[in-house]
Amino acid sequence: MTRRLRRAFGRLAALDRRWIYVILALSVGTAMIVGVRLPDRPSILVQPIYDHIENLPAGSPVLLACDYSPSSAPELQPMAVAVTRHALLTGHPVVYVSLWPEGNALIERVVVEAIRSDFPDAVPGRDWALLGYKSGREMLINTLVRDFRAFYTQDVRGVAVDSLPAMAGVRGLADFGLVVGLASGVPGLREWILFGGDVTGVPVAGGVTGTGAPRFFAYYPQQLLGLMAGMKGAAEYEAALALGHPEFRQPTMRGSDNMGPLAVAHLVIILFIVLGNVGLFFGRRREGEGR
Amino acid sequence: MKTRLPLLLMAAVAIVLIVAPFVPAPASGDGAWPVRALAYADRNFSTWFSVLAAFAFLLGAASLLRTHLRKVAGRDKDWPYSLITLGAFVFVLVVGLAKVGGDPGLRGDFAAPGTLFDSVFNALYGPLQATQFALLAFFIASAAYRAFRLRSVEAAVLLAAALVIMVGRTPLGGYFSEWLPASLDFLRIDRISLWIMKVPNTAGHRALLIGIALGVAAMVVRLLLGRERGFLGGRRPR
Repeated sequence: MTRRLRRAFGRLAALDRRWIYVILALSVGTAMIVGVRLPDRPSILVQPIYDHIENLPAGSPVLLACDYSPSSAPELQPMAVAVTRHALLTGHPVVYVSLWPEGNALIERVVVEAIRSDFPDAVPGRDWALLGYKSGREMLINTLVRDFRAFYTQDVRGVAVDSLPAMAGVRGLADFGLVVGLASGVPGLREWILFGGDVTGVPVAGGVTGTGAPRFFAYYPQQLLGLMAGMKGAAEYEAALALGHPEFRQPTMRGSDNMGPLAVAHLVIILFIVLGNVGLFFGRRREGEGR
Repeated sequence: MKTRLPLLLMAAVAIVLIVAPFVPAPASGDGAWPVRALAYADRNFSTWFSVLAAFAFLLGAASLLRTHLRKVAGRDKDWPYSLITLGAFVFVLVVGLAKVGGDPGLRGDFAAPGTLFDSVFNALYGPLQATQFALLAFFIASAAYRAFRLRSVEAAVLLAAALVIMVGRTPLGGYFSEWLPASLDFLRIDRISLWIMKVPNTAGHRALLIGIALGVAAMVVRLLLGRERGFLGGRRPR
């Protein structure tokens, strides 16, 4: 190999970061515009959540805690939408709460995307209840364990919780068929596991961002029924829903739609890691020859 | 007295909260008064905490105003940013309190669809936060390029694990392993990726969690003994 070529390879170890930014942006942008699609399959982490909702007794309410902010909505919102669709499809009312002040607006988005478009006949209060945000973090969960109405006397529209059919049989957290905590920080899924699921025995499933997922494997499967980890977790749940209920292949499946660009982004990062190491290898050889 | 009273109050509440879950609540109103008192505390302290937590927002707002007003008044470094922060704070506060565009009544929802607050959230706050988080992808790409270098055996192990996870956390992990026979299913990239997350990663995190839990227990003992006074805003702990 000529010296000039070795020098060129050696330079790969010190690429200007702006090249990385430009190439990553172009690759992901192109994948999004072209519409690269990579269908996924549900993993053993996600399938138990789907199976649990599928096998819940008719009418069992599902508590969906949306404890995230707009920054992580692209990863977590597809999970909220998929779980909502599945619960309504199988006849389980969804009760939305949030430990984060931003929660209410994000829940509204889920209602618009999942309920108003796909279930136009669904009745607020009967098929879903939006109880919204309350302050108190884990202490709020502590109270909900015993008495939901100690804090939630009305839904966000001002309707008394006692008059909502979705909350008819609910006194405490244990009366829910499943608690799904979608979280991107604290308070979030960990608090629902430790202060809700562990205390009452109600099954808790979760959805978290890709970067937050590693810390929740410690709770799986004893304390955590299943885990949707990052965008792939959302895509896996959508895949389970599409397999079990083929009528849901058509509506928007944002988790699955974004798997292509995500895979491209990962491949680009891997490519740069390889280039960096090639540069390191040739750089060392050049140094060795120079001595 | 200035420090003793808060310490005694904190210790009393902490001891009640620690003991209460271990004492079965009486089925009805009867039972010895300490048992009834503990049951009452167990039932109501969480509610009181949640109410008190709401006041933390007021404290946070007051702190934000004080910090940035001082910066603006003193023309400190980057004071124009503080001015923008104060302007945004007052704007959102007024828009929310006045329920602009929505039902102004007591029961009216300040963030109902169609209100100005909702528009500010969806058109400004949401996109700004999403943009900030999206930038992380670029920093991760740049950091991965610089950090994952084969300089030692440990670095090689880290690099191999990172590559498997990066491929395994996309559908590509499954596609790349389709050719493997069923007997070698355990070598599938998505399976290895899951194994790394479930076994070595979980082992590390459990160790971390147990360490944190022990640290929290030690801190609680120090708080109860009055050795930890940082929360009073006083001297540093010895």
